[in-house]
Amino acid sequence: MSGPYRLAEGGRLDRTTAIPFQFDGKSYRGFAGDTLASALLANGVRLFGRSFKYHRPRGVITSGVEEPNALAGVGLGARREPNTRMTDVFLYEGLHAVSQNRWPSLDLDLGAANQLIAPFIPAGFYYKTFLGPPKLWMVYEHFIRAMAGLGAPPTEADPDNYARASRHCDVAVVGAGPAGLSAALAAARAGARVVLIEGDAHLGGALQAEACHIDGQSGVDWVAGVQAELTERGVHILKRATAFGYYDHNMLYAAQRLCEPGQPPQDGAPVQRLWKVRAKRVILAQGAIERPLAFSDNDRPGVMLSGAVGTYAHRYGVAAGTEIVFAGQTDAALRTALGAIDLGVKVTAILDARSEADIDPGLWTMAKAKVKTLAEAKPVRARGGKGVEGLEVDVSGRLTAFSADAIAVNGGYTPSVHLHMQAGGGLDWRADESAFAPSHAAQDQISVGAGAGVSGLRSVLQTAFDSGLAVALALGFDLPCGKAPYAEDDARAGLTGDFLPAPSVNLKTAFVDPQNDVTLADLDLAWREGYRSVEHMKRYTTLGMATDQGKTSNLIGLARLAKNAAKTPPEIGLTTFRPPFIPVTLGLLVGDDRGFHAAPLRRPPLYDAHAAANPPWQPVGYWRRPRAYLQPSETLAAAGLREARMVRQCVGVTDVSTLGKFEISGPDAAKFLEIACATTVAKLAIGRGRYTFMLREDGLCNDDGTVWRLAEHRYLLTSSTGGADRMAQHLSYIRNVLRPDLRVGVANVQEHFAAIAVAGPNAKSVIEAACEGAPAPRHMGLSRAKIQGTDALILAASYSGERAFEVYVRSGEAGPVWADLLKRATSEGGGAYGLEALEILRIEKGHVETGGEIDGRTSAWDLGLEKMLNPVGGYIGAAGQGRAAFEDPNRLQFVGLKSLEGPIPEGAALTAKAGASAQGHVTAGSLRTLEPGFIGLGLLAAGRTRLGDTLLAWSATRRASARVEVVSPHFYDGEGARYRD
Amino acid sequence: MMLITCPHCGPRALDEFVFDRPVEAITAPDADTQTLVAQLYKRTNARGPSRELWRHSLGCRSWMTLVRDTATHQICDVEPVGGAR
Amino acid sequence: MTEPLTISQPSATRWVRCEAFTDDEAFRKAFEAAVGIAPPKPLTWAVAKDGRVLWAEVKAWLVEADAEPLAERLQDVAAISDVSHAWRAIDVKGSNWRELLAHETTLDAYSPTLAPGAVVAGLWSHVPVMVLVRSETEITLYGPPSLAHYLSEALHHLAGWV
Repeated sequence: MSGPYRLAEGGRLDRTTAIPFQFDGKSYRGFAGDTLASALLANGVRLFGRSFKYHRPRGVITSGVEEPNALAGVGLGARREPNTRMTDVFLYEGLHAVSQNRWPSLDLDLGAANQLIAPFIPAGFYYKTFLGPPKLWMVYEHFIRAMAGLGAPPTEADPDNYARASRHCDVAVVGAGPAGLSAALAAARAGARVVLIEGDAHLGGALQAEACHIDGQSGVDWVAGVQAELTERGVHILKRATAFGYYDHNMLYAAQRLCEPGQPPQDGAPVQRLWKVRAKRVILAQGAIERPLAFSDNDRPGVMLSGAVGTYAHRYGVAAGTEIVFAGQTDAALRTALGAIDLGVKVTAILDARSEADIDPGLWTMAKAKVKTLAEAKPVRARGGKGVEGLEVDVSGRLTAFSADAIAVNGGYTPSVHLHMQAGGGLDWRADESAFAPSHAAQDQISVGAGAGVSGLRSVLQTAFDSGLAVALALGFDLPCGKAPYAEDDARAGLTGDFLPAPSVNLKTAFVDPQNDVTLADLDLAWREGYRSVEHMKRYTTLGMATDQGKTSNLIGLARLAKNAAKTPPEIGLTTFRPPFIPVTLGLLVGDDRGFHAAPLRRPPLYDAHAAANPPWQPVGYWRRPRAYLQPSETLAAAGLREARMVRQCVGVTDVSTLGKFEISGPDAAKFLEIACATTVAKLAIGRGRYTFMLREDGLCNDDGTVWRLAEHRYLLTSSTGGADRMAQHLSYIRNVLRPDLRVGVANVQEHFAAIAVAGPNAKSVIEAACEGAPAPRHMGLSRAKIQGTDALILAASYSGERAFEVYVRSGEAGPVWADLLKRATSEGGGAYGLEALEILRIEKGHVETGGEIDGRTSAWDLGLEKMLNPVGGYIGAAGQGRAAFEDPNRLQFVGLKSLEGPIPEGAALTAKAGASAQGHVTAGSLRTLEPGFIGLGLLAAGRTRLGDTLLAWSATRRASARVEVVSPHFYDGEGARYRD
Repeated sequence: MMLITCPHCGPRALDEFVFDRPVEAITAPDADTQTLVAQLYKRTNARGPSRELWRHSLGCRSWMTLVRDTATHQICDVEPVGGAR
Repeated sequence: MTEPLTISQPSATRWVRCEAFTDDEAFRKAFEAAVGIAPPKPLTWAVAKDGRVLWAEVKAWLVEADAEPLAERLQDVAAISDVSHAWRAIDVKGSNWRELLAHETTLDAYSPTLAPGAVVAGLWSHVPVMVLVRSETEITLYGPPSLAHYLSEALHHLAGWV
């Protein structure tokens, strides 16, 4: 692994650990601590990818998450992550990476033919070509899609686990560079609970890019000491965790890599963790991102950001080239060049676009002593194809050339304001640095360090410390903090040169956004064509719309637009910053919420008993209820009918535990109920119950159920399963918001009680035998007994139309009670029945159902329940019923339907003929239990006046229809003789 | 992910709360139809502070009114409703 | 890593719900006479003669007791209902319970106020739960019975990752 590109010593590497990896089928080795990019550079690889549109050869240009070019598919099979920035993957054994967007190979890419037609495919070309006819678009689109796109996603299911974690803290610090560490130190010492979030594998940030000294130690040693102190003070340090989203009220989301992309975990351990951090105050220390320069062919492999060249040398012990030319326009870039030279990197020339008067004299003198320097020098064109071979330069108007195999460029530094802007902050334009920096904040946050536009290590450390202290004090933490960390060096970034390219630059190959192949010529084209707003420029040219979100390119593009418009960048404005700051995988966001954990499954108390029979399940909200208990080779429809017949002719047992149930007690219980329910309640005698229904304020039916008087001031109210949660909220609303003066309490006992219905002509004998001879209650009465030693409340109510009893027992004790009732029912020739039979029975009986006929649009009159309305009024919905629309004779009204043909499709429209407009719809349909024929229930305009009419029940979606006659909905035992005493 | 300061539980994430209605839509059961309709269906819908009734349904289940700025999501003036504190 | 957490099977409670009609002096005196201690303040719980007592909601407490005798003594000032099977309790023991709680929760698992004597209600892994802190190493989670299986599976699954 030694070679011209690996420096003999230095770097934050473990040179004793060699790590083998593969790129495009070739094997290489790197060291522990290398990224994929640094290891490839060390191995002399320069060609990393092909560009999106023109398939131009590309190399890596950065050393961080802002990388636009060096994207690879990393990982094998189901673990492959496409578009992985090679600068953001640390080497692991067996790493397997492939380059993207090239065929057949990176070296010989037939897509490069696109460069021949480049004049015809500038930005936005597809808006002007492919105009018609529309049918051909489908043809063009097929080819465009095949050519466009980056990377290929895996086709297999994701095999990995993803974890989540929540954290609350007083202060969250984003970024562990000098500013972040300093601020975290102050806040932690003051006594605040601090969370520190850093995307790199190590703390230190920019301190890892060059040699420095803090508090008398090397930068690396100082960082180690700070980490130890923070840990001891209980600071929660999240490493390899990139904060990607800043949401309302100081909520930060961070994606933490527990394994590198594509790396198989140990024993099913999670590969990533999504952190949700809620902080009282946020300190943003995200640093600044360097920007490149625009010149012809500035995208050739070997052109890199100057800071990246410095980082590769300092942190990774890698020389980006063997003869490097630096072309910059800030003092910071000069220092980087000098630092690289000191590490043994061969720099042949240092160019600065500024005039000597604007360059720091000390640095310039030092540079002149070591290497050829030129001021007022702007790059014009990079020579070379698959790699840089030289650089043509404009020096005060004269053209000269240098031989080089790498060009380190520096156009300036852009404070990374992404999270600040996501949090609704504002920006100030700094003319000297030609960049935006944070001004006011909308949330409780503050920016520090380079991310706030502060430069000079001493200043950064001091101001960040002061901010951390101020934030802690504002929260009431005031333990003594000592002094800020101190660095002798306070050199500033210096005056930054402008955005103007040298006059002889060919704008068509001066790339601004390399990932989307957007050039200066494209930006000028957009301007000429009238796309004047920054939003239009962005969408028309796709500048900044690739996976890097334009981190290195947006400001250059904005400056070009400003020049064309003869305005300043702040007058132009910026596009919106949106999360995520870096691409995040869907697996991270989904986390555990899949498979068993996709949605919480609510199990009724008798779930295990039902599951033993392996029934088909019906989802009802988050509940699962058995549809039927199939016998061998029985279809669901046949089972439903058999079970319904069993109830009509013998006895059936079913689980109705999911119904809503409320215990309402206190002296004002009846008064309370007569507000919630639209029927009378107060007249109930102790030990008696009745059917009831509840309205919304607008007068329409909300739910129905039963109410039972258990004792003088104690009632039990039941409601539908689907409406149970709604009813709980509604009752609480009445109790706490409308009538807090009432002396009443409402207990939600939905899950406290299991409820088992026993229905059929033999139900009474089953119940009495189970209760050891205690008499069963009369119809609409209740009794108390013991079944299998368990206290039971028995309510005599019928939903099926047969004599029936609902047995209420405490949910944890229901198992033996169900088993006993089922055994007795079976011995009498009956058995268990499920939702299919329940539905058939209630259709035949003509009971309305919440979710079916009670659909939020029907009134008591519509449903035929008006006689039960409390004549005194005062219930919720009473006033709403006074609305004029309730008088409309054409309202949808509850009717029965008798088929003149075959089955009546549910959901079908009730019409005069097929295709005619609907006069109503079918809410339910089934076979009759004991006679032949098909019936249904429905809602029909003016239905109650139309008994005897013939209509067509017609369903376009089910492609089925049946002629029906409108009849009374009560098909079975209209007088209730089956269950009355 | 908004944060609401429950008068009993302190600051909690929006996930735990259920929005019920704007305060102007709280109607009395014995209101006359005209008043009811006005309260239920006429909304000022301002871009700015909105007085609303919320419930901490997945926390302490208490009711509260608060003022939420519909433009900035700032939440203030949280007052408990019903029951002695 | 610290020693593994132990997680009990879900079990029913002995709770009775006591909702004061008005939280006034008369109610508090009657409560203390019947239960043995004053009604705990919001977000706290305590031990009375029959078992635990915790603040559940505004004007409502959960008391480990028999419903009927309590109802007889308090029916003039409060609504008393047996809700013993409306919850399932899961005991979690181990020094690392906060990390398990912090998996995905709206609660501040590391808050200094989440200490012995505290009871808070919030969401854990999509389930509405109450967390009752018994000691530095013991908590009881209360959740709806319908989600007890889901809660238990999730706790066991995630305990392996903390």
